[in-house]
Amino acid sequence: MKALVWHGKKDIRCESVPDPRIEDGRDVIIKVSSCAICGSDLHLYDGFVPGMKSGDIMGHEFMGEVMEVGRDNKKLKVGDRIVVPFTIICGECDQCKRGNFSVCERTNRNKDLAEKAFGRTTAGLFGYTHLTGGYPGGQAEYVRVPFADAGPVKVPSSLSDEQVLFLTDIFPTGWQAAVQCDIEPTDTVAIWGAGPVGQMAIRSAILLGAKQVIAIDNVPERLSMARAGGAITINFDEESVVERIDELTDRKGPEKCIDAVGMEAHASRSIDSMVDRAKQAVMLESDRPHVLREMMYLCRPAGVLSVPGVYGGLVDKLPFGAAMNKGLTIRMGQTHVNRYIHDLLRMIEEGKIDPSFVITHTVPLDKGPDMYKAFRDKEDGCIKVVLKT
Amino acid sequence: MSHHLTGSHHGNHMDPQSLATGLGWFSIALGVAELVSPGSVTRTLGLRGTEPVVRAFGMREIVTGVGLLSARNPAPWLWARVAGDMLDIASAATAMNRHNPHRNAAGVAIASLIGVTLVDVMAARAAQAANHERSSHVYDYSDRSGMPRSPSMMRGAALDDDLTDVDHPFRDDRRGQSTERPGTAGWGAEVTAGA
Repeated sequence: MKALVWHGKKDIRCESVPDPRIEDGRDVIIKVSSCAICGSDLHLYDGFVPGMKSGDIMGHEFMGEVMEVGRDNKKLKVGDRIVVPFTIICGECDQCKRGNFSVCERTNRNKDLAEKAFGRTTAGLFGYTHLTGGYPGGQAEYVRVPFADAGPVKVPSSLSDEQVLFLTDIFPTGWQAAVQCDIEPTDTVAIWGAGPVGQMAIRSAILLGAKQVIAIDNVPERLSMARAGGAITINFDEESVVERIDELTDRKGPEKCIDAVGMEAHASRSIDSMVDRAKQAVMLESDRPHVLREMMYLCRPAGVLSVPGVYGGLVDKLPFGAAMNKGLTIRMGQTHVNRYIHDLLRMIEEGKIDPSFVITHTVPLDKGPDMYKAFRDKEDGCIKVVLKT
Repeated sequence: MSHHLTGSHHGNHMDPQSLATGLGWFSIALGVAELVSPGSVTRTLGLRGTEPVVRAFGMREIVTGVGLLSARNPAPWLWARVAGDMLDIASAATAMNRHNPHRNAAGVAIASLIGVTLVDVMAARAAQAANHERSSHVYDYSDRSGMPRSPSMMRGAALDDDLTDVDHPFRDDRRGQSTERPGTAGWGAEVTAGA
């Protein structure tokens, strides 16, 4: 089969690899109909997350048709059309029982690596380093889905791939980011990053009743899409984020702040961001936390910082004194997709939201390597890429 | 919804970002060498006594190198390198007088500097062209709300639902907890995988 394979920094190729096969009774094999490139895939593309090996298959946003079912899997049958959450869950461990699916205790088959990196293990993830299990990803023609009687969700034929594909990651990720904010009707929610997760967070904050949503980015197309979703936009290349947010919040700051950027913050005019880039370039720092610093500084006292953006290692010079003294609550983590996916599917079925709005490019799988570069460099108005097998 | 495709031009041209990164590391390496051992440069060129100038040039190289490695837009830093190259060439040219026994070495140094300058100019122009290409066409996504009505009309629409009523394979309603926000609570102790 064909798959997008990681070979090193900025080196992803479409290659022929062996077809997957059933390895456990709970597995299924699916034929991928649609998959997507996620912003967090770019962290792997840029070489900022450790634990990748040459030959790893990329991708954690995918869906398709069940082709083969393991003998113990009583939930799915051949022909079912399913979306596959990027977090692999067992559905049985203590964390799954609490709904903390992204920290499932059983699905990471490289627990020892995860414990070295994070202290404790987290869930297995598709196509996202050997720290999270080294599972082959979904940017491929076929995928083995482990624990497939727990995570995947059947989707109705009345909805297109484009409408439901993002239930696998970015929609629940943006939704969780907003839910973690405990939004009140009087709240201003400021969202750093208007990429795909930021766009979903904007709409989630609106749907959850935020009075005012502010989106911060410097890409004109993203800002245009953010305004379409109801956000007031700030282009950080053209105006001061601090001054503009002060204007919009009577100098009190937003009650809720969302970091939809993560470890590769670009803030070309800020000194701290330039220092971060230099330190990252010479491997003195793994992540660039400009957004975290700005959120801690700007957030209203007793506010909430919600962090769906991916961080991989160590960050420097965080104003933790500001966060502590202002009594900020910080909530973060990979997404507990299965906690939200049924609610969100129902919202899509009811027509309250159509997540396909975010798709700007649809190409065949073999064009994927080119699209990684286009997505990373925001070329050609690229915000979200869907790959068709 | 219209989808547009990226052409096949990606990867066919020199990648300005990669070139800038390479030149950034080159700058830092050269800068450190000039800072640590300026005497070797001045001896080779027959310019003894100008070590402080070489050290200053080394500092300039390091600053430019860090700028190239850290900037999203490398073009200004690449043009700064070109300006620095001119300064280097002018300085090396002072060693070309007929009384300097090392003028041949100075000639080789100038020829090398001219070569580096050409690479810097090419890289700077490529970076500028890439910037221009990016900014020359902005796509309009102002019709992509993703919602059936205006955002102001959709504000709070998710709160209209009692999403806790959804028949959910992992949710244990026996806990009897109501959620303050959709999808935030109600996770029970007994979960049946694949129910």
